[in-house]
Amino acid sequence: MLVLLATGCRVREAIPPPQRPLAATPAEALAEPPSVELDAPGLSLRLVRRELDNGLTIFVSRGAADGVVSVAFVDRSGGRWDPRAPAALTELTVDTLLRATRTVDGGVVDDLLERAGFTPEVHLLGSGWLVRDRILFEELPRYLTGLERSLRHPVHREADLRLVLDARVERRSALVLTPDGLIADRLPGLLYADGDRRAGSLRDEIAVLRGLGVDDLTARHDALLDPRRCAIVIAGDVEPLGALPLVRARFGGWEAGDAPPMDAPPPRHRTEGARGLVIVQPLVRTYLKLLEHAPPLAHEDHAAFLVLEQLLGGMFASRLNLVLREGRGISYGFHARYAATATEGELQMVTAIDPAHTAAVVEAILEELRRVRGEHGPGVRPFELSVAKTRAREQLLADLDHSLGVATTIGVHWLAGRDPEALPALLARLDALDADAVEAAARRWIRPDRAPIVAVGRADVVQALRAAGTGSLRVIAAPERHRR
Amino acid sequence: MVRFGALALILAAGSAAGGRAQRAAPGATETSETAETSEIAPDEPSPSESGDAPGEDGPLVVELPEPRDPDAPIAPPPEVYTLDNGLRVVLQPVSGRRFTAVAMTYRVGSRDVPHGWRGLAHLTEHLMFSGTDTLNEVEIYLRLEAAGAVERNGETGPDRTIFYEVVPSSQIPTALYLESHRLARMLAGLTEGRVARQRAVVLHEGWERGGYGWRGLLAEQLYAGTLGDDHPYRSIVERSDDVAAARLEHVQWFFQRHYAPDRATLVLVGGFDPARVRPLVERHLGPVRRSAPPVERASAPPPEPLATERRIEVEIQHDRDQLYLAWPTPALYAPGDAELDVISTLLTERRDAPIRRALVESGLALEVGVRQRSHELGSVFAIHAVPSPGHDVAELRAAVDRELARLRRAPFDAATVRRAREVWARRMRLGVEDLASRAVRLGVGDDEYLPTLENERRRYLAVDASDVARTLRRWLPTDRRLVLVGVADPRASPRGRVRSDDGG
Repeated sequence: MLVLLATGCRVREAIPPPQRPLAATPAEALAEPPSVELDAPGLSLRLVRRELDNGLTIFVSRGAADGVVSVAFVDRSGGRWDPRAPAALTELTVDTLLRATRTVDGGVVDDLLERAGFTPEVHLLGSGWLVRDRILFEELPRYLTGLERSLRHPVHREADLRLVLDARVERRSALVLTPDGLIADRLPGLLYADGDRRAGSLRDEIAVLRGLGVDDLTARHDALLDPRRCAIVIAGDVEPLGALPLVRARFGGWEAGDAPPMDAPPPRHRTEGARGLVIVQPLVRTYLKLLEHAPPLAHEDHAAFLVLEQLLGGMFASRLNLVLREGRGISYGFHARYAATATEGELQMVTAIDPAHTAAVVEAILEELRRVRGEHGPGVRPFELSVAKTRAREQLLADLDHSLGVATTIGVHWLAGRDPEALPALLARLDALDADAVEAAARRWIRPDRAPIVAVGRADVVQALRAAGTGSLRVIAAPERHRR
Repeated sequence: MVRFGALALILAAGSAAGGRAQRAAPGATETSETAETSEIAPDEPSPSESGDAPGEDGPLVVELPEPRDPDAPIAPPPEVYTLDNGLRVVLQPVSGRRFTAVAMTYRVGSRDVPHGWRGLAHLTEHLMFSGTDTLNEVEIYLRLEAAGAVERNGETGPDRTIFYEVVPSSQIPTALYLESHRLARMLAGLTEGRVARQRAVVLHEGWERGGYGWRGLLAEQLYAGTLGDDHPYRSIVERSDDVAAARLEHVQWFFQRHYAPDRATLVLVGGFDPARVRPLVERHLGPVRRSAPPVERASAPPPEPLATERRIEVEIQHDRDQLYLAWPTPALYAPGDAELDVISTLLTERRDAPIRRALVESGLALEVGVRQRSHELGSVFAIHAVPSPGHDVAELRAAVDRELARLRRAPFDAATVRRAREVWARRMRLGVEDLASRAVRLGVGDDEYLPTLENERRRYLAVDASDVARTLRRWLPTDRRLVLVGVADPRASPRGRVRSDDGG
């Protein structure tokens, strides 16, 4: 028989007072602060690039002799915003690509790469998709063979698909009831115009998923993998002259297709309607997220946005994070993230806060957006600009300090139509930025009076957002959660 | 002419890292199990077939990866020494890297808080970032980020509290300077205001990460139900009311007891020259002294299997029921710990693994996780599953029991165990790139065992099928375990009701 336990009533053990002096080491015994002069940010990728007769691009970058190699395969076809198919279908197609593979003798093998000990990750991006993995030096020939076979000869089985689909629908259905899910469901629709795929909601995705079958996946897969739209990147402990023939032998036989035009059309932004949305739910905190359009990866403002991302919440020392977290203790943190693809960029700012401070925090966010535009307060100050530039530069260099980062960075840049060999130039552009250039870029993209915002929280959040001057708002009640 | 890389299924098990060609491991083809095993067998191109033309990719010579000795050490052993003040130092240089991970690991954790103060260790960790009398509230972060730190964090675990940053190697002095100041002068600058602000931040973190909700409630019962209500790990799940009660003098007392150079390990892993770093470590950390006498930490006897099956039901503010089947198991690095890691892989790593097949691939469960949660005083091995719509925890439990019973009758064979242990060994070889993880791992070691990637790789490679069978029988008995059920009710209180079959 189960017995109800008491969990509330507890006695705290007494804690004695601390000893004096509190700190035994005098401050003057410690060393002086060192210089923070950084090394010159050199970047040497040692990148070899080749193109096969069928159009497949190959990059090989030699790194440290540590026995580790990373491989990234990227395809510019069938990204999330490809107008020829719903994003949910494309996502399911690439996610299930490696689950079952037709062997040369006509059989079927499940999880070919995983069964061989590999751990490939598949990511669907805005303008394409990516498979990446970190492997051991001596596994490269086997890995390339398994990867080629898995990509080209997937097997879609009804029972298998049903299992994956049902689980995915269940997870999305649960997610859409959480604060983060509620925001993800509604916020894109405030930034993008009706009819633009980017405006789609999680609920739309769930509806699409419910209607999918094996034929849809097979047809979708058939539209992918034109070698002229694909690249393979191999980085790490690898000799280019050894790796290139391996790729050629396995991928050189792919036939070039019709090479359809770049998939993702540029985004169309909403120009009318409510700027914000409040989703009322009785929570102990208010969840806030702001979304704004931003430059695509190859745009001249890209470097400035890498810095703006840091200033607005990408680094711990960003002003809003320091004020809200360290200064006032009303949030666990304030975060900003800038993501860019070939056709577009997005800037997100997100936090969760004590509901009593909702109005003040929203006001502070909007003021901060005006400040980085140079329209409010002191604008971007020299010291914070210096820290932000350092952070942005070192983050890029850190990504290129290990093989998986190199393979991914080169793959993603190529996917976005940007020459990976130009990465050193990006560093130079970052270094050359001054406050005026950063503020000018902010003025071109960031709209403090228009950037969409969604809040999830108590009913008084509505009044708080109105008091903060967010303009027109829609208010809806969160759907009730029920036992599933 | 370009020849297509063909795939063949060969009846060869053996190691996944078996070299450039498909050498079948000796004796690997006889067992029936190996018939299920596929291995990718590329037909490697000969130079004349590769299609490379002179002047395009270079000379017409194909350089395939050279086979290397799979038993060669992953990295040379690190340098380990101790400063006069007792600080242990571990230096692991890695050639060719621009960055270095600097980790300061203190031998204090959430198990060390007094009764009724769950979260005090975590609050103290936060305050290590909030300044000293020589650095104001934001300077620790500002200096790190101005120095190009790309990672910086603190983590409070049951046994250790770790502070680490990844910086350009030229900025190692900045990292050492900050570590020395927060150890030596944090208390001198600590105020009630700083404590109040970080107390609020810790509470926000608890809500944001779900620690104060149903996840924390289940974790609390998982440890109490397996290791016992009086075990030091009873305190490792934080409570919001305890955090809210913490004041300046409590943090001061806790810090003085546990934060001292002779209770810490400094680890550097990355692109540096040890000859240049040793004097820097001495200059910055050498002068730091402890400010209170050392104390004995809470301890516990090694865990033993439960005497009977114990059932606990927890009402959770969530929309899905949760099932945990859990056992007390040997401590981190103790005999049996690596075996249980390998067993977790054997049970769920692949789609045809017994527990994954029986729960997820059958459609009974939405998700399943199997993990050995290894800690210094004792571990917990848990199978966690969430039922799919239309199914319930009783069905999941029955399915798990069927698989465990089957494994008792027909244990994993040698080839299957070899493959699973190789998963862990391979992870260690691939981990060579991850500087921060290596630094954190090395900080957990002591004079008895230093968990380098190489030592860890060998620890896993030593596991064989008989070890696995013995460990399953000894540590995972189906009739002596915890059955913990989270009963979902979205309208339940965040600290829902707990019912136990023994009232314990």
